[in-house]
Amino acid sequence: MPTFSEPSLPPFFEQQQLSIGALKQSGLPLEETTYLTIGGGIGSFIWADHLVIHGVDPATIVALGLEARPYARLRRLCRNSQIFEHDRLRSDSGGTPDNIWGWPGYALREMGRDLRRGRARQAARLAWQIFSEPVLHHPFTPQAGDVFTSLDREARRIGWSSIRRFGLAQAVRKTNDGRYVVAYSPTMALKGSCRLILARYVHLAVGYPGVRVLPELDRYRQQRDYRRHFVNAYEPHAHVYRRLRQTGGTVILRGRGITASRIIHRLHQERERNPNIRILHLMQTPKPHGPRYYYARRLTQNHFDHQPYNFPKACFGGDLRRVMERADDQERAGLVGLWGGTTTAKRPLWERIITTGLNEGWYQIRFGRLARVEPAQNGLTVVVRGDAAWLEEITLRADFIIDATGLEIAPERSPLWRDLRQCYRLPKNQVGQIRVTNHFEVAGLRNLTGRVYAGGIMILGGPFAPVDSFTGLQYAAQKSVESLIAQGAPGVRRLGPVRSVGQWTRWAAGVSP
Amino acid sequence: MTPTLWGRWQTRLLLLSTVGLLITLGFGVLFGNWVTPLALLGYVLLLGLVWDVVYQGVQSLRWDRDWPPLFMAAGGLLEALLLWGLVKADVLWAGLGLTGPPGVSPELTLMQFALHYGTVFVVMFSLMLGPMRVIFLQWRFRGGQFF
Ligand SMILES: Cc1cc2nc3c(=O)[nH]c(=O)nc-3n(C[C@H](O)[C@H](O)[C@H](O)COP(=O)(O)OP(=O)(O)OC[C@H]3O[C@@H](n4cnc5c(N)ncnc54)[C@H](O)[C@@H]3O)c2cc1C
Repeated sequence: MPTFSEPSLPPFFEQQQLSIGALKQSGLPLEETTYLTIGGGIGSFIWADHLVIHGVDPATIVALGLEARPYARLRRLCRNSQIFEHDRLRSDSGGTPDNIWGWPGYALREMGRDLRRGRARQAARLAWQIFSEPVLHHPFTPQAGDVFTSLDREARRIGWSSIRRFGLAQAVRKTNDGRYVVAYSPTMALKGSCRLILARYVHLAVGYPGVRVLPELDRYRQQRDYRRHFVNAYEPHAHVYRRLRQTGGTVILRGRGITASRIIHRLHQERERNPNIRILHLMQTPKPHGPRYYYARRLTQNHFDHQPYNFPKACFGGDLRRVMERADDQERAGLVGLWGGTTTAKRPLWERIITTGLNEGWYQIRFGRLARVEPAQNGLTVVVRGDAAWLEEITLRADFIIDATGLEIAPERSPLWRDLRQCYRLPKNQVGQIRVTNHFEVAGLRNLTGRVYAGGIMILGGPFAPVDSFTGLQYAAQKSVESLIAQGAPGVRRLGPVRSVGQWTRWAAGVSP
Repeated sequence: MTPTLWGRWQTRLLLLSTVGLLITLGFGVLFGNWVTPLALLGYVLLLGLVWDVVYQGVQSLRWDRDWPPLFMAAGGLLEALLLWGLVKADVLWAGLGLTGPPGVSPELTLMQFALHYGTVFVVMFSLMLGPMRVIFLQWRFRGGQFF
């Protein structure tokens, strides 16, 4: 993941509103566009895809980002956290970032591929899976590689290569003619290479600011002695598995979300080559049962909270979506904590691994916090402080600590959002993320006819719970397009049944919108 | 799609009054009797409005508050069984001084009923699993609601 140094902005960017005249006189290269999305990742791609399908001329859309492919960052984070092309992600078949309708889903496409290759039994099994999920079968989730390939196809169809351009956005400012100017660097080197681009409608989807390291652990990671032994699951750490395969060893695992499940799965694969690998799963507190929402309770097993996706399915489009949309800020924060939080999916293989590991003793769960970590020969000495009531403190020797507690989400950690918040005093919601309207507009950035919309993890706690998901990014894009239509933004036209079917047919045929 | 109660009602009404009606008219021609298939369609709609309340109640007991395809199919089967039971509940109708539910011919056979009901159900089920999302872009997010 690239790290950013502090941007070197032109001095006049200190003002809240810039005059077009001053921009022209600055001598900096200045371009204009109508629609601009910053990030160039999955969220930007989905927004641009919606615009183009709703009739906007792709020549009036620019996507600023650091990578050529919209899924580059997601793929990197997946690979680091041991989800490779053939591994399955965590969304339903209809979570299709390459298709704004959500149909045909990845299950149907996989069945089609199986049939074309003469694997009728496999296709029939899939058909049964999607018919009987999640009651009799664990839910279908797409292979990561299929999602990426489908995005490549859609990118070709909408001409993404001419929409996207390399650019590290440094700041966004209102202009005195109701637009926005974005200062960006056309290279990763920030100093002295600033360009400007003007747009009337801006969309921000810059994803996670970075990997999260718990504060109490951060200082250890700063020291050289620890770095190879103390890794974050979202950073490259293939050396851990290589070493374990050769010499065996003990891994302390932090976090109990889906990434932790996948890491256990990966360690189990290595165990098949070297049975001398042990996992100590360090959890802060026991979790005997899951939370309750009215009459329903979330399933908990072995102190893992289980749900198929990162939020209950009805948050993506059922009554829970409406509950969230209608709730106030305070209630939304409570609901995000209740429905979301750290959860994993119930997959038979993972359950088998945990049960076998617990029975055979090579996988153990301990409750407590890492109190101290010290270098030991070829590894670490770890002091775990358990339940305060027992005054428990245990010293362990471990070869590696893998921290799978998640990614950083705080807006302050994103230089772009930090600058925007400081300049325009943008309010946060109760979750601590950027507050948006029900149409995903950042109200504090409204500028005459100009609008700024946002999507992704930065707006968690807003009108839609699973904002950081393919379907959530589509929902946000759709709501912002609705708002653009209401304002009469250029080129955007309503997609009624006839046009919608027409556009879908073009998608199916692979013809440009 | 995870339905809301309004979504269930609206989608049921829309599908039954369009594709459901077309298929029913087709069976009217096939059976040489228009009234019985149309009456059955009406009962499916009316009883369905009540069933939907029950389904929504069951759904709220689930953590995910979803309505899996298996439940949709099971619901379809249950509705069919109840309707057929009602059609043939001679004692009940005799008590009301009728030969059967108004509009439904006493000669209706199980085969005819199953063919008609089954076709309407399978077509609606298939539409709800996919094509509806294409025709109505917001349908999947709004739990099946149009308004
Ligand atoms: C490991 C992992 C697995 C996931 N699996 C699923 C799944 O199975 N199903 C699902 O629905 N969701 C999944 N998600 C969630 C979600 O779909 C992804 O996080 C998705 O990538 C979010 O899209 P985004 O556009 O917000 O961020 P990204 O795709 O990360 O894109 C943001 C882009 O912005 C760029 N950027 C940052 N700052 C700047 C700047 N100043 N200027 C220009 N560019 C900038 C970054 O380089 C990056 O390329 C997963 C997430 C992770 C991390």
